[in-house]
Amino acid sequence: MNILTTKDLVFQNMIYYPDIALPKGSMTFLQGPSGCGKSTLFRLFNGTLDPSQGSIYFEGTDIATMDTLSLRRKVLLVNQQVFLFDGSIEDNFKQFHAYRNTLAPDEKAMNMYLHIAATPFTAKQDVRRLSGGERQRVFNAIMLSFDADLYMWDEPSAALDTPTAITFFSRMKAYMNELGKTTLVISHDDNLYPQFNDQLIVLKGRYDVTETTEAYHD
Amino acid sequence: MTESISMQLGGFLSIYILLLLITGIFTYCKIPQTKFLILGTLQMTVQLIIAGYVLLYIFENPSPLFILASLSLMIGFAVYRTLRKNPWLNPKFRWITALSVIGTCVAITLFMLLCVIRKDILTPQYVIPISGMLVSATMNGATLALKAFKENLDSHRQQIEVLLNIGAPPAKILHPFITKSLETAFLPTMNSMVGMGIIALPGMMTGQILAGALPNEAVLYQITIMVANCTTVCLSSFCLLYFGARTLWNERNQL
Repeated sequence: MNILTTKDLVFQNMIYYPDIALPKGSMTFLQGPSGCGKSTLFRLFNGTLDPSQGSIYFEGTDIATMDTLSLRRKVLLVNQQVFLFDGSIEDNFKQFHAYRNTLAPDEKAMNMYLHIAATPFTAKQDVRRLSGGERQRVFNAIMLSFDADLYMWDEPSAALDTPTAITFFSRMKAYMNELGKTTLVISHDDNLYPQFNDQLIVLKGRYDVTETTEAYHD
Repeated sequence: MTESISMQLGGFLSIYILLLLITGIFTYCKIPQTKFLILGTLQMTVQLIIAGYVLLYIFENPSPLFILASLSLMIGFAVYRTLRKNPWLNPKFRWITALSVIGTCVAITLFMLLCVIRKDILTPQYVIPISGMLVSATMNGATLALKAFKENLDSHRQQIEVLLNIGAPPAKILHPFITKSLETAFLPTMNSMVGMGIIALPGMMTGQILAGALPNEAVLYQITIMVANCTTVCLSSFCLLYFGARTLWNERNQL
């Protein structure tokens, strides 16, 4: 069964997507040259952008008819750019959850998420002293605590070295499998997808509409 | 006019000698603003002289039409300046800004005249100076509020994007930036209120004292105008940010 499918998806008459199907519980890697619309596809899936043509179905429902806030809680986009509030890791869990009106996990659960994200800190650690890679791991841990059905990771290991990235991916995949969650990943790290992908989608790149119409006229 | 404030032409012209001092400093520090300084002073002089004669005419020929015209001119100019300084506003946001500035200025001026000073609202000596002070405070407050809001949005792009992606409601995401910008807009007014009487005698009070009013009476006017100022700044900035921010996202919660 597929958790998400697309049909004839086009963004701004510039990017034409192949029809995509994400089997429930799978981990799919999304690849393609930069500018081919990978991050845009994520934003179409969580309704922060609208397609100019075509449809996206989440568990059979056209997302154009869904409430976008609840959609974004089920289809979670984890930004490429890390953002953390000032304060401890625990404060960050609490602040992020307060923005969603959800209850922050207890300390035990926080430490579990930090473990999955390969973060060697406890929740008491102040985030202001962390390095870029450490911040990314804390950010990933917080995102794991949101309990979404479909996780869309945009370069979640961009600031991590390969061994740490592999640790994170194997723990994360095991966690997702255990809870039957679906994962979609954009990653430029070629060490990851051969080991972790259940499905690989390669986007070709931009199609310029004017060029295609000209070719058509010829 | 009263004997106490009439000024001799020679004495008046001597103030322009001070401009030479500024020009000297500008030249020494190579600040390329001398032309702007001269033109600015010239523009101010001409504007104020014209304003003086226009007001003299209006005071001598009080007519509701004149009062309405000068009020519209003042408020219109304030709205124009505020909008021009914030070209990033979308059309709806521009309307909300204009309505907030106009509404607050009119409402607080009316309150000042009817409840506080208790004069006929058609007496130009009261309506024009009081509305003028309120309008200029409102313009400064609104401009500052919008500028601070824009700066806050720009410097927190990442935070906004991440919070939007985790399904936080846009109103909640933008709320801290509205609060911060309100504070920024409000701070100069509050600061000047706190320093009043110690650091400087405020302009309105100075004017009244120079014109021969008793200082203890002049302060009463000053206090009321200060509170009225604070209120217009706060109210207009609040309205335009609170309602204006709502034009930044659509019904699909897209910013």
